[in-house]
Amino acid sequence: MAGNKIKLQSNDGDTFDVDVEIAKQSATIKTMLEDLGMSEEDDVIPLPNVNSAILKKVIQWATHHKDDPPPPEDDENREKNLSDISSWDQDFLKVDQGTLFELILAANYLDIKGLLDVTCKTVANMIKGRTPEEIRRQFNIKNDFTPQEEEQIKKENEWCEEK
Amino acid sequence: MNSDQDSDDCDYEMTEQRQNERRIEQQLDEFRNKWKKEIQQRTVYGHVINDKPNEQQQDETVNNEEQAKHFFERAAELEREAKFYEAIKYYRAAMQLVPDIETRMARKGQQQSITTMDSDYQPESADEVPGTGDRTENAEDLVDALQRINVDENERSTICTKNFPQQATHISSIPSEVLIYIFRWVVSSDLDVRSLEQCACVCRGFYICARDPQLWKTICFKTWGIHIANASASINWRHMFINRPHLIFNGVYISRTTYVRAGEQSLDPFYSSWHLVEYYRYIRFFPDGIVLIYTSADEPRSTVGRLKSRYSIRDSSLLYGNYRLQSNRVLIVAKRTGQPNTIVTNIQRRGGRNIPASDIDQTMHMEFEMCSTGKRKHNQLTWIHYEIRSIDKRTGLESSSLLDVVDDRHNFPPLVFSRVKSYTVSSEQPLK
Repeated sequence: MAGNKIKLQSNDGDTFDVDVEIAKQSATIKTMLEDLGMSEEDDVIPLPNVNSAILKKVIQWATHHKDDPPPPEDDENREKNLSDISSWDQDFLKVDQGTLFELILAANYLDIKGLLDVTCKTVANMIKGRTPEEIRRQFNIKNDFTPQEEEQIKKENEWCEEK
Repeated sequence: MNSDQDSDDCDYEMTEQRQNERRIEQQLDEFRNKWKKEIQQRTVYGHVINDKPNEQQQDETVNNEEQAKHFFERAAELEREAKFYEAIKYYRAAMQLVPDIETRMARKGQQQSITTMDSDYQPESADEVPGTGDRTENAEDLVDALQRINVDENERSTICTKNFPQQATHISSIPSEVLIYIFRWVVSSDLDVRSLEQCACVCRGFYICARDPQLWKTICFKTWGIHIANASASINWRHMFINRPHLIFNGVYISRTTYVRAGEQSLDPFYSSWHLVEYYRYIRFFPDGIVLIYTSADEPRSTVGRLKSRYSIRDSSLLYGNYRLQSNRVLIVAKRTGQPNTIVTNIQRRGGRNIPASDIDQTMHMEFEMCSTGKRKHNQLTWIHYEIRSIDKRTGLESSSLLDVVDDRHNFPPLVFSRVKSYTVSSEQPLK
């Protein structure tokens, strides 16, 4: 079982050979293999939502984290040791914003909790402590509020303003 | 539906916070009485002949609506004067009488420019009509309205749109449940609610996600514990969070005290020096019940950094303790931290032996009231109680000294909250 490989196919047709154990970090693939009884040897698992560049990144991430202990469920004690993004992950996530969002989408679709966490945390840190205008500029977001709506939200949020 | 939700919330809050709100209740009562007199006079002049029971009943509903209207208008007035807390009370009182008072008022607002029935309130309403007619609309209505718009306008229902064209994958391709998950990381285990509120101002889609009730429910649970409310009750969690006294975590509470101390005896008999000594008290709270206290002559600028992490416990100049909330009070039990490697669990055992040249084990018991100043809610801690209990480790002798914190405002001024930006720059754990 240990050395078994499966084939993952991206939406642009590339196929990747991946260790089953590595691929199973994706809960989606794990379910396909275990519950739906897909055979591991010959079948190709198509991943219609992931392109090959991103799939390659995801496999790279999963390979590096294949020996990570499973995340403890709601354990208060893990606070300290898992609090930092590892330096490997930091380097791994030195990508442009587009790639970051595609990784989030892939992690969400493939249901890889660790990758989703580390990518969402990266985006969160781009948001934290910023003003709305800075956030808009950061992510190229259009302000679609009417002046009245903006006025009202300002009122609603008044309670946490500085002065 | 929304108004129901709100009045539920209201009932709940009324019972919970009755003590704190007695003052406002009194004001309401006064207002009610005044109003009743007014109404009685009107009925005397207006409906003297009218004694059919049917009509009377109708009168009652009319009265209710009148009263609700008065409350509502008073609330709008207060809101304009920036007395939001009071305003909310009036809005709620109005909504208890007539749940859909808002829509009625909005309708009335349109008519009122023509009719001159209500001469007393006419000027205000006129004031309110241009442009800001929906100012009194409450939060849920805006969420609903924006949700509707979002569904209507784009079937794809993306959370936002690009400001400039871009080739790369845009944040708008993120589904809303993932954006909410990102917001959980934004709020983080440090309860950085302020950053969440900033997100709500970005665009409509962000607003809807940042007002997600589940998100706010978790925030409330983290703040007061899961026994805060019956989970099945429909509660506006965000309103609860804003209005209920709670501590603020993204900064420190600071007070400054000065006293005059006689200086060295000088040789010159005509001159004796005095020093004005200035020192600060700093209190930093963490969401998991941990508190750090620091008293020092150092200015805030150079101090706030050492209170950044709860693991600052190794810093022996800090008092380290636990706190809990009791309605609008916060109770602290703290000890001086000792040498390095001291961890939370052995605080009891460790005792005073780490304090240099002392076998006395001291615990500080402090109690504060969370007060609001101006628009800022619960941003001030007023001393209520301060007791230092000492146990001599050798003799086992216990003693306690009670400090007169209530009357001695000069030495125990209130601590005022001050935000520290560096406390919330990065997220450690998601909110859960």
